[in-house]
Amino acid sequence: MFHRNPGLIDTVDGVARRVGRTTIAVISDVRELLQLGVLKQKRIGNSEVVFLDRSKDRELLESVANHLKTVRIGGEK
Amino acid sequence: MTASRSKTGASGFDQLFPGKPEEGRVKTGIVELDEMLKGGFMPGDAVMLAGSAGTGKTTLALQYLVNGVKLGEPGIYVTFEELPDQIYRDAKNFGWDLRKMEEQDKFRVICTSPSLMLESGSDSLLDDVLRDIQPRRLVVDSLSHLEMFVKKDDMRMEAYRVIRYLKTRGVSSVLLWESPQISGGSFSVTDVGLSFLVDCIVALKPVEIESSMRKALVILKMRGSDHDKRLREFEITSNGIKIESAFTNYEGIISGSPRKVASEKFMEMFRGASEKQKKA
Repeated sequence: MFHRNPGLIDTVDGVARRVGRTTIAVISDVRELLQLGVLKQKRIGNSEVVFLDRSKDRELLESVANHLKTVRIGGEK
Repeated sequence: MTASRSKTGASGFDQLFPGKPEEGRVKTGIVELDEMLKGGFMPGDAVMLAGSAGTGKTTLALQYLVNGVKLGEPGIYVTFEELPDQIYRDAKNFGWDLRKMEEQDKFRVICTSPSLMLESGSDSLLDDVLRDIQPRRLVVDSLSHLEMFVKKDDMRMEAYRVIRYLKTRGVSSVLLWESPQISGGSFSVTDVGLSFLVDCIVALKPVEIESSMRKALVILKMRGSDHDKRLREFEITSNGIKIESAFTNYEGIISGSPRKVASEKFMEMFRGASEKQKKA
């Protein structure tokens, strides 16, 4: 969701609504992404919003790509 | 400024603007529209782009931002409804690669809730992105969505706050407004008095002429500048908005009852009579 929509800045409620799910259903995924550092949190007025850390997202994608490359080379050997 | 324009301009784009550009104008990059605006929008102005659903507001707004990037002016598209993924896809159909522009830090699609846009604490929603990409242009799609979160009486004050926020940061904004009232006999752009807050109003309107639906564009207001007052026909092509000639042979288009002007009717009757004579 966030990788495909990197400019999404919303509350957890808002994110859940946009994916057609309830807050309870998405909260654990959001927490996990916050712990990984892929998502960041910020206070806007009275609301807490979440959004993608673009550089962290890029970094993670690169490390996954590198890992897959290593696995593939290892398999070929 | 001129140097960065030529550096970032896409191939062939400069050919659209031969010679020295009008100083101090924010070009839309749509040649005919810039001509209508006597060079472009005034810098830092708040422009309302009003029209009913399907008239091409989003396409015109995106084209304005994409052309801005080509001219070396970064832009932000704020949407309250559609997810960025859908905006990227729709833009790609016109040949605009927004993701690539984002990678180059020249463009951002921000998708958020109108209520967050209205939060007025020490941190504004747009502070970070304004700092990151230093935009010259920003589109809000749409101001009409704010209506769902504020009382009708407060709408004007909240819109004023959004406009002032952008103006004080030197950003030229285009604010989309869904305006079903532009069709039919009673013509008004908004019913909450926003027309007075903005500096320029561009209205898009579907018109039925001789049993076919066509689209018209008109500049209703432009503070501090002369502008073309004629209604111009436009089309949404595979390359974006293309503005055609003026509806010179019709009157009553804005009121929703287009009819041929008297001289045109006379010419038609005259042509008909002379054809009959020839046949006889």
